[in-house]
Amino acid sequence: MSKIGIPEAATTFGALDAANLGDGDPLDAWSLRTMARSSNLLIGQGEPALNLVWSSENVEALGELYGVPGALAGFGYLHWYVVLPPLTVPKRPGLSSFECAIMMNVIGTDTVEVQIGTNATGGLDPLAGESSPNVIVCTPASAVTSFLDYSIKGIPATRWASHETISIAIRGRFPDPIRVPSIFAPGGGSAQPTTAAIEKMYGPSTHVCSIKQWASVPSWPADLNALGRAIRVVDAPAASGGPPSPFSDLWAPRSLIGMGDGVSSGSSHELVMYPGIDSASQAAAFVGKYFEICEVPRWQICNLALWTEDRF
Amino acid sequence: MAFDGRNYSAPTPVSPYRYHSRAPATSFALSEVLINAYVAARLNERIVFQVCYPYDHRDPAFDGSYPGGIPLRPMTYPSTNYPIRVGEGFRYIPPEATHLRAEVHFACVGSIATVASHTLSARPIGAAGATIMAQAVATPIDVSAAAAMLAATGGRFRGQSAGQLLGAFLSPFGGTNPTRFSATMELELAAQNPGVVNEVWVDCNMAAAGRAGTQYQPLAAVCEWACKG
Repeated sequence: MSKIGIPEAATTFGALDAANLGDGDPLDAWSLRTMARSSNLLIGQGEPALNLVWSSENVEALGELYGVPGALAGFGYLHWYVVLPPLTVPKRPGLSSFECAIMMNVIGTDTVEVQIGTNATGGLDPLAGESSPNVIVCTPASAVTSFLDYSIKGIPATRWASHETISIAIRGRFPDPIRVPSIFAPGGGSAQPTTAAIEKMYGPSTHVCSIKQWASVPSWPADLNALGRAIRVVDAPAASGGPPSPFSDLWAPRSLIGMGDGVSSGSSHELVMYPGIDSASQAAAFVGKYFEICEVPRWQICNLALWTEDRF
Repeated sequence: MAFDGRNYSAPTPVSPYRYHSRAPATSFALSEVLINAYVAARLNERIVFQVCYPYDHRDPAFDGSYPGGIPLRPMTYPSTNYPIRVGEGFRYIPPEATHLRAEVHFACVGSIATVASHTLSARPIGAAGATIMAQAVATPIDVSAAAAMLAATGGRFRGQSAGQLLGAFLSPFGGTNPTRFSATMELELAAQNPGVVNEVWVDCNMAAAGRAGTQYQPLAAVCEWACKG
């Protein structure tokens, strides 16, 4: 029995006995109630909104890169990174939430967050985090080389709209413990420094800054930014060849997004980072402090599905 | 006036007030049920196809050949005689449908102004001699203007957008980097299309004058059927 003012919905779409619908007879309240409950179920059922599939071949493990994957692949940079263009999908009016499921391979036991932006969430929020209703936290329970399922319910949707614009962004959490992989000169040459005293720091804008080494010029590969790295700035260096510096970061780690100023063919001595410095005085204050080139999480996605949740 | 449920845009649950009585059901209460059925027929399960080309988002740099990731579909030079197939699918189009809508996201890089033309087409399968319904949308491509915008923003990090998000689909970029565009098109269906399975596809071609200096690359496409009016 329904409560006053609260519509009922059938649990399955039902049919009336033909005897209830005799031609020329008035329609009784019970028959209308059955029709109404079925109708309410029909209009309240969710439906697929977005379903994208990529190749699940070339599943990668920690420390391995299988060349060019067929999946959607990337690194968990430390700031929200848009991975799909904003796609407009149809949805039934009256439904107010989405459920999202992702088949993702997160390398090792790192953590990657996925944000689903909708019109109701105001698109993507640079400040969104674990507590946001549209953020999925993806952490493998153990280091397996396979795609695992992650899902979330209750992503806000615009109730009375017949379409929704969907945006997807991904952000990685700084691995714990911190990893500092070795770096070699282009062409498999000699080992290059992963940490050193900062000689010169540039802060050309709020969106980008860079560290450039002049005295002891490193030969970092010009595509180091394509290997998933972030830059820490710490008060004291790690021991040579030892684990990452135990000292606290002097600022929030930056994502390595580019290599500037090539020294010779294929090499670079400048690290370009996002975002920029926090204040104008940092560029001078960090000279003499120590940078450390760390690794960020790595992920692959072979399926991303989004559908509206049932209303009843 | 003839009752036409297509005048309604959103379904509403039938209120229990309508049937909590021993009186015969009113026609108004029954009309609410019928309206929901009409709306369900117009607004349910509208997806025709969705495609997003695979991307290797491992290079977020905006100073390389492919800013914010490496698309795994190469850049090409589509033309009228050799168009690029952006997306396609088969779909039973319900009798209520009146239109097809498509949205395409793509990138262009180069130095010659041209026009990228996307065409949404549909044809019933298995029907000999069926007419191909098509609607084209032209998008002017002026990458040289994007380069000028790049110079105005300044900064060493070429092409970075003035926001707090990284990524491959923030536009526009400039210089030698592909610039992102989007185009939407709407095709009015003929009587042959609703009620049968159709082949639906989106192609792109570019004006001949642009072929020498501007490349094209599809990124994503979505298509749905719609009921208008």
